[in-house]
Amino acid sequence: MRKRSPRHSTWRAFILVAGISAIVPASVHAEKRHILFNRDVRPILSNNCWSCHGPDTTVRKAKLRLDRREAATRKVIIPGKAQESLLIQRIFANDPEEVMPPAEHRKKLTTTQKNILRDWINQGAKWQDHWAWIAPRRAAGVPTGKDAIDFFIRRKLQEQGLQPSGEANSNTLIRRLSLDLLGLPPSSGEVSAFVKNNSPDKVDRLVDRLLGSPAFGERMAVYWLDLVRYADTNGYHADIEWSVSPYRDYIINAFNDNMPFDRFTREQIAGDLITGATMDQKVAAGFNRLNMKSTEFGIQDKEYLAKYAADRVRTTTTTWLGVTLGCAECHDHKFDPFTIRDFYSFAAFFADIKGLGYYPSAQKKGWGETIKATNPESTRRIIELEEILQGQPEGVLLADSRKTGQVWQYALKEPAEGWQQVAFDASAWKKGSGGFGSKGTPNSSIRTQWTTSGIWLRKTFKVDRVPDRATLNIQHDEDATVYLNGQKAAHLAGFSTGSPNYATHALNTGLLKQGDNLIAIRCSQTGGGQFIDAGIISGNGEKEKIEQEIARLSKNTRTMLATVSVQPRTMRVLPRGNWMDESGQIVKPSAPRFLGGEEATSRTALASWIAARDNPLTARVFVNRLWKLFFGTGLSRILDDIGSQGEWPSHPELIDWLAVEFMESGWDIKHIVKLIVTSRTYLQSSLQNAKLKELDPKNRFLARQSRFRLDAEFIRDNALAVSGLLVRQVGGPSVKPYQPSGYWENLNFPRRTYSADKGSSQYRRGLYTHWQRQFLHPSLLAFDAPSREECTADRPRSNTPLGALVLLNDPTHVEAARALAQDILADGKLKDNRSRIKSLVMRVLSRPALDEEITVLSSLLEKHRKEFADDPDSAHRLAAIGQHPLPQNVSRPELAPWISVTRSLLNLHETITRN
Amino acid sequence: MKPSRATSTPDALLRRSFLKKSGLGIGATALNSLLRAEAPATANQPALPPRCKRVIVLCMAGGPSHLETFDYKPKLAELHGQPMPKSVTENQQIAQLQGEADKLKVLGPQHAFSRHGKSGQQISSVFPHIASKIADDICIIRSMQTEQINHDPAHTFMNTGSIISGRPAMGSWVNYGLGSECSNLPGFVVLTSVGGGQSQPIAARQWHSGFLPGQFQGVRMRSKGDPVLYINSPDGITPKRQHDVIKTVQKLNEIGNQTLADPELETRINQYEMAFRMQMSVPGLVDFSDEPEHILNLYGTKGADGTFAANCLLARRLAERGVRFVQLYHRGWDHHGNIKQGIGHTAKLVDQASAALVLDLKQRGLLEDTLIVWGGEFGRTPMAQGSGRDHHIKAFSIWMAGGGIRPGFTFGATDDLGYHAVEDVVDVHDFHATMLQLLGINHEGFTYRYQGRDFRLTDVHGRIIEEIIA
Repeated sequence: MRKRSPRHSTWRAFILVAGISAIVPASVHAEKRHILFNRDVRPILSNNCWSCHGPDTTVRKAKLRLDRREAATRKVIIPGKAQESLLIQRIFANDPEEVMPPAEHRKKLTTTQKNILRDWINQGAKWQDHWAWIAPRRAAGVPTGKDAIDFFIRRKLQEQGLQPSGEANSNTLIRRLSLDLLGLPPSSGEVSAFVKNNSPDKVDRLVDRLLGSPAFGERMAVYWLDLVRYADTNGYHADIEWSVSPYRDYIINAFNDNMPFDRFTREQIAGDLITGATMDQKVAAGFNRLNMKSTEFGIQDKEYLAKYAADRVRTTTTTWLGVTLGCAECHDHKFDPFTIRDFYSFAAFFADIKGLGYYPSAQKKGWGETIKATNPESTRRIIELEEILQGQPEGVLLADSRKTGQVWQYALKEPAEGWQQVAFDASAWKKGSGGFGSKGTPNSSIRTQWTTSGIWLRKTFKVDRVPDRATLNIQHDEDATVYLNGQKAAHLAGFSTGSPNYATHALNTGLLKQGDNLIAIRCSQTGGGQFIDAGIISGNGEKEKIEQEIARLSKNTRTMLATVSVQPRTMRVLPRGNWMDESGQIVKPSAPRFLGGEEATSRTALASWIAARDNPLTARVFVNRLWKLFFGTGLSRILDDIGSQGEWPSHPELIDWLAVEFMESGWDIKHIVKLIVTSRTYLQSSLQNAKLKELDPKNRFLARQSRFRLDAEFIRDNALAVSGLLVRQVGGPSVKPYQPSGYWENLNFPRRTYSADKGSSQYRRGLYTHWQRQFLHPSLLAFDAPSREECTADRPRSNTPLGALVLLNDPTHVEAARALAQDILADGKLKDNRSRIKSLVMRVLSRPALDEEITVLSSLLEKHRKEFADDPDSAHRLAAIGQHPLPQNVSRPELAPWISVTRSLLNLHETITRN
Repeated sequence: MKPSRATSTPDALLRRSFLKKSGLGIGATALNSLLRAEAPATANQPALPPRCKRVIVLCMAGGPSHLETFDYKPKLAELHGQPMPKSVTENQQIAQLQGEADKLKVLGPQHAFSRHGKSGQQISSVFPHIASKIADDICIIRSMQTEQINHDPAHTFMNTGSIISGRPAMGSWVNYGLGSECSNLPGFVVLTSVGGGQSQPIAARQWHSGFLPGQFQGVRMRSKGDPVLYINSPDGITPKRQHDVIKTVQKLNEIGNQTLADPELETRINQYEMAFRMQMSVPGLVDFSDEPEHILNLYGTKGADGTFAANCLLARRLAERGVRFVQLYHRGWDHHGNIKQGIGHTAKLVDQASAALVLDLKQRGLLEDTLIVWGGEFGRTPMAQGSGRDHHIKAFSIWMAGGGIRPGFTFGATDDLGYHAVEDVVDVHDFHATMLQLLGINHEGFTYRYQGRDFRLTDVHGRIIEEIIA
């Protein structure tokens, strides 16, 4: 594509001109520590050499590969003889024409790096396959369970001459565990109970309780939704809303139900292909439809199909495999053995998904295939009701006319006496289908007109067995008298509406008999809006009510973009990623060849390959990211690249042990989480001493716990939880918290205004926030929540003035401060300011207040108390922020200074930090 | 930071309490965070002699037609109404004219061109101010090309050098590289205005810091509501009360830090100070009452009303205060139909103020170290789309001025029909490379490690356009 600057010197030139003396330092024989290829050498070669001497054939210089031992030792490396190896001569060369890497490459080797390469060759130039490409194995001689974690961590600490830290105090532990496992702080009551508890298994029991909380799934979903780029809008151009929230709820439930990760994988990648797929599995497969899509007029269908395909490759491989196969869209990968063909073969797995590139008028027509997904709560209730129905034997004795018109004999003029008796001769009466009534009566299906003031009806019906209980279902407008076999069975005054159900009336079954029975009804209507219809069922009528309830719940659905499999599109290699170039070879679905991928037929095969016991990547990637959730940094720090350019893990045997444990436990997520968070390593204090600060400033050896800022959603959740505003409803459509007006002004097609939710929807957890890809809610954005336009494995943790402005001024946080202040003032047990401040600190920070802190907060309180007393209008305006009710009898000038106190607390570094 | 009228009047109480920390502007903070962010050791200060310190991009969103603005094509007038030669359009990517390949007709220039200034630059009559006032100050590039033919990805490409979301905007890169010179405003500010044509949406992605640390993200300033999101204290909270709360927060944080010694906490303290300084300085920034009448007249604005003219004046005020990168979007250049009137209308909304910005910076001595860029995300087709023109990627025009740019110069050329840039082609990566060069940053060495790869604004491309550098 682009002209490249000319290369002055090449390996080839050098190899041809043999015998040039390179200067290798005399210290070449000073062998030091044992060099490990993967730990020491691979990062140097990958980062500095492989972009020209690596897997990508198109840019390879001097036909030299340095990513394979055979190739390298054939040309430039002589094992055991560094001085004679061209590689060493060239990297130590002083001549700028000769030195490698060449000057224009902009990579320079440090002396340490050069020495490592030299020593490594002298030690025999032993090669290792990249650690992550080899299936993980458990190291021998390791204790079982969580002790394994401590075993590996402490062994390394010992090597480094470091001591582990002691266990954190109980206040810190319960807050850490609650925030890590739920994304929510503990309540004051939970804290004091935990602190008082002296039993040795109290951490275990706490962890079990937290893992059983529905908030666990919400917390885990936050991390997963970044990966699968879950959002409520299409992302490109018009960025309009679509409905995918059932998928979000599926993820929450899956984590809560501890769904095995292999099943979790299969349902998302190929749930639609499972025989007899359940609604949940179909919803899960919606993962394949979460990518950005465009409805911008004038775009090219083919171009956008190519964009979507590439996005699916990037997302799926980053999410499950932690590799950057996405980099092989235009050329072979520069650092890992992925070919461009691997990229398009992987994309071919998704070629069967029905969809367009250009979605014309999606604002009206939507985004292709959808399904109606029942709300999880509704689904659960439906299952319960269906079970109840099983035990409700009910049968129809006399059908009413709601579904099908039933034929009755009827008279519109008052008949002779005894008309309701079995023996009465009604042969002169007319026949007509029910219901009977006049047009326009609400909730009535009228088949025979009745517009006069009264109607008389008769009908014979057969009863096989007289039931213990029988119920009359009737809609009457107005007074009706019902006779069975000549006896009065019911008199119903007034009218019933028929909505949602017919009125029910228990019948005396003594009036019924086996064989033929006669029902006779008289109904009168003096005004207008006549109607009468009736039927009899056995039982107490519950069945019908339940059926109606099931029907109602079933309608309580949300739409979900659906994955529908059709004849696959032809997938070819696009040379240089150019979608207009149709010269590339046609490819069939396949996982990357060097990882053992073979031609396959379906996404099901892909899911099986990903979650196979011998896939070297999936389990490692997952446990590494779990580690990050609970220590702030992964065992291998780079969460989205486990390949050559990734990081050699700080504890390679531990990551492998966890990966094997994960797979052998049946991909049991809660099991691994529990192992990690009950390990002594996890429970350590996070305090840093001077020695650790110097020797391990980034805490990679874990001689202590880490401290880090909460994720954006949990900053919100924390404020709502400590103030008591949080509404703990799980799942449902996305919600809209307060947002500065005009924030959406740059959206168009159509133009939109944002209106914040009222009532309980205002106080939901951050993960339910409406995720507008182009204009993500600014309070989330300020704390690094990603727009989810792309798969994101790792959020940065910024510390910016914009974040400070959110905590200071966002109405959500001001309202939380107000609610918290209100709550404290309303607590009759707290008699003075000191005890109120102490209670506040406990609620916000889960620990007792220091005297110094009480002094600082008291002086703010006193200062602002005077100010607001002099300026009650300000107090009223401050107290009016937010929808949370404020009783009339609360003095605003009394409340306002407390809001200053609670605002201060909610803005503390400690408040948004997990220690 | 250059002292100026507006920055010399911060709240006294803030000076009193923050004096001891004032050495820690965001520059120092940024550097601290950078060191901790484990960024590779790239040049975070100019490696080359810089020609400018800051950039103002006037982004003409929607894709202004080069054929009605800066690229005069007499041949097009000659062929007006005739079929477009197949040889030119064959196998070329087409946007809304898809499916009409057999019916394409030439649309002649809809506005007259003439030569202007001593340099004799060809500028169309839709820009009387630019033509008569700054023709000798600007360098017109007529040979721009891009890769993306639709608005959304074309903007993303222009701003980030990539079409994949999540890459940092150029303003973020520049702030990452050079830090901010401003202790009370963000280093990257975005302004938007509308008018004159279809208002294409603009996503926040266009100024997002992507994988760079969050403090480098662009901050939007608005004419309605809070000028910066959450910049106003809660109702009932005076600046003094706000300051009391912040002071309390800082004191409590410091008490906590006696045992924690958390380096992140020091940064947090600095950010709260910065936040408060922003709260104090932004109202003065967006209040134009200190601008004399003749300056308001020069731009053609009455006050900070969110028009492009007001935004240009605001951009100057930001530049004066040391803001590193300012980007003004004017959303109104998407003229698929009735381009004659439409482009005249949109041009009228930006012409005077664009020229005023150059003149005003010049008279203040700021133009020499401020780079101004004027241009859209792509050009428009020589073929008619009804009475308008469709999106076009093979040629478009931009102009640059100030900050080391060769003034009064036209660079590059398109073919006779204005379809293909044929001479001295400049692509988006070249533009980025040149901009970074002017700022003293070598684009090939300016990297950030993400997903195991050293990313650059210019990816693996970019040629520095030496010819346009003075």
